[in-house]
Amino acid sequence: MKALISILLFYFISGRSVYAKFIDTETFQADLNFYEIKIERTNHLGLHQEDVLMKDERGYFFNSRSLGKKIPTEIAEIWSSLEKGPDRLENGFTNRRAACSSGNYIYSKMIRTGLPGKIDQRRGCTEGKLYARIIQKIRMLKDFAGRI
Amino acid sequence: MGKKTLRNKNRIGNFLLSFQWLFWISHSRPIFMVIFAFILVIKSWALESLPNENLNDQNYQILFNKIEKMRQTLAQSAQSSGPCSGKVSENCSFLEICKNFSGSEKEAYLYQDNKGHQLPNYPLLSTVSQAEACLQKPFLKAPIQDPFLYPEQFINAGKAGGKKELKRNRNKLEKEKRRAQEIFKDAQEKTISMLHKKGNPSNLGQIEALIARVKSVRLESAELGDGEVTLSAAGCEMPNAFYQRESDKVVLCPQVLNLPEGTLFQILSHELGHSIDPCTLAFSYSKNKMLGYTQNTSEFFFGANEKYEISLPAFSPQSLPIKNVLSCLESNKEMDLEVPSQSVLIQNIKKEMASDPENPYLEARVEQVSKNYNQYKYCSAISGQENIQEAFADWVSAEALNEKVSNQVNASQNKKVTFEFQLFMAGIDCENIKKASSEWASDLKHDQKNKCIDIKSTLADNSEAAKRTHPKSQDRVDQILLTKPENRKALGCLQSQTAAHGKNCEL
Ligand SMILES: [Zn+2]
Repeated sequence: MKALISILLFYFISGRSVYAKFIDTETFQADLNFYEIKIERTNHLGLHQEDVLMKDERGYFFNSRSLGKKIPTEIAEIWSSLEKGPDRLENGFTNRRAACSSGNYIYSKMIRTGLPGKIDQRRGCTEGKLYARIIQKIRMLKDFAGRI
Repeated sequence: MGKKTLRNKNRIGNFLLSFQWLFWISHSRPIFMVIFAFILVIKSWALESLPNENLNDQNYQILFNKIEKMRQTLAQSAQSSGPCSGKVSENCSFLEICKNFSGSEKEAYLYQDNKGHQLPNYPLLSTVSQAEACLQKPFLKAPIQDPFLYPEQFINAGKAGGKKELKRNRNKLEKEKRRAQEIFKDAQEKTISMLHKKGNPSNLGQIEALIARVKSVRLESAELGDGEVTLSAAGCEMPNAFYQRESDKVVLCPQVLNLPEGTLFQILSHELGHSIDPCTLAFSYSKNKMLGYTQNTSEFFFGANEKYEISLPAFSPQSLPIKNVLSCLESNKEMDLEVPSQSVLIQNIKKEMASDPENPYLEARVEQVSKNYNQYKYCSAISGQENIQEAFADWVSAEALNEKVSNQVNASQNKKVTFEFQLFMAGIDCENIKKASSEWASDLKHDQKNKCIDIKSTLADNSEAAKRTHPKSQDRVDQILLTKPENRKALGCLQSQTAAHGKNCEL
């Protein structure tokens, strides 16, 4: 009994990071909600920029800045569309390109599993309507982060 | 960890994840309910007390003051910036050129010509922009009034500082667009006359084909539209310029229009170089009344053998008119330019597939490499790297500069244009410049509580991915630009080549 109480106590006080250690691939689904998304882009002149979205037990973070545990609906919609990420096949192929002339972006999502992170990576060109939509959403998050 | 222990841990983990324990607690003695409530209070307190921003926090005030001071430093240096000239010792090299910026690494502009065209300190400006995003409330004004750095000052009167300023900014934009067209024309002429001079009875047809390609290219200045979204769609989220293969156009972003003449000459002649790089030459082009020249891509994408009316014919890698330059550049081991063989490429993609089996992009890439390697091996969709095209475009621009300065007798003008030619690369890649911006970034990093812990110190990308897109700036200057005799003369370098410099590749 004592042991069980200690386990419960330990679990509650230290937050989810402890139980994350219990998770392996079988229970992997349970931690899909904790992740880090990096959107890096390098243009043809060699200039580079990146933005990082992170969600963990403390809430939402944009470029290390806390957005709180709950975010307004319209921001949540933007967040979830960025979380979903661009089409995995974009990479210039669907745009009829043999190379990205303006530059390349890499979207990578690392899901926190408690085990070495699983990374989902997608690439594309830094131009076109789809790309502009990603940048527009990043701007909206930036503006929101600046207001709170 | 043994299988048994893992299974036991899973059992405990699954138990905690399920709601069985809630059921168990609620059916036990009340003391457990009290403990449970106590734990909940502690848990919520522990989570709430995680680092959080607080406007009244002393740390926040320190951060605010630091950023405010950075902005003031930028504004003051921008106001006091005046024309400067480059000095390079006769042992010319990229590292020698970087010494020019010693003492001005923390200024808003690293160089200015006598007409007010400037090279911004992109790494430093980027650090400050990122730092500002750490604050609770955004500053209403940019630290500097310069629409080429902050394009919203071309669009929004409030951002520009008033209606009069907005009009002035727009007039300046139109003026600089016209200047860019002139520099583009100059770069095109110099590239064509350089190619002419490389002609001989045995290669005349091939030289004519290259000249026709360079002549066909048009310059397009990207439109501002509503600002960030329009610019991002056009490839101009950041200061940028590129050759758009599909439409045979060089696209110039508004943010680069105020760069010095020599810097724009380098950018534009490099982009013209892409119109005859080994990936572009693998495609034929047709001329269309409405659209101008367009790239024929259906063979690449569908394997279709469509009948086009071809205006500019395609070349196979074996028949490339530029193959001597490519093999000469590839032989320079410093730059790592060689395109992997077809089997190595497929092997590498299959390795990636093993860890990411359902990735449709990797499947498409295996198909592309199997089908298209022979004709299109120099295109990044096949080879996965762009270094060889970039080194070749740099070779064209170095040759165009060589042509420009050899035609002109004014030594000081030649020195100016050659110094300005390498400025963009130096401005984002000189170690002293990068160090200055990372110093500012790390000054803000000390205090983890203020959440400003993730500022990237520089805009220049030195990641593994970036190494596949451009050769290093130092190599671009030392191994390509400074191998041309007239460029060395213009910069006042010793004519004998030092060990740091590569071969002078010829067509
Ligand atoms: Zn290029």
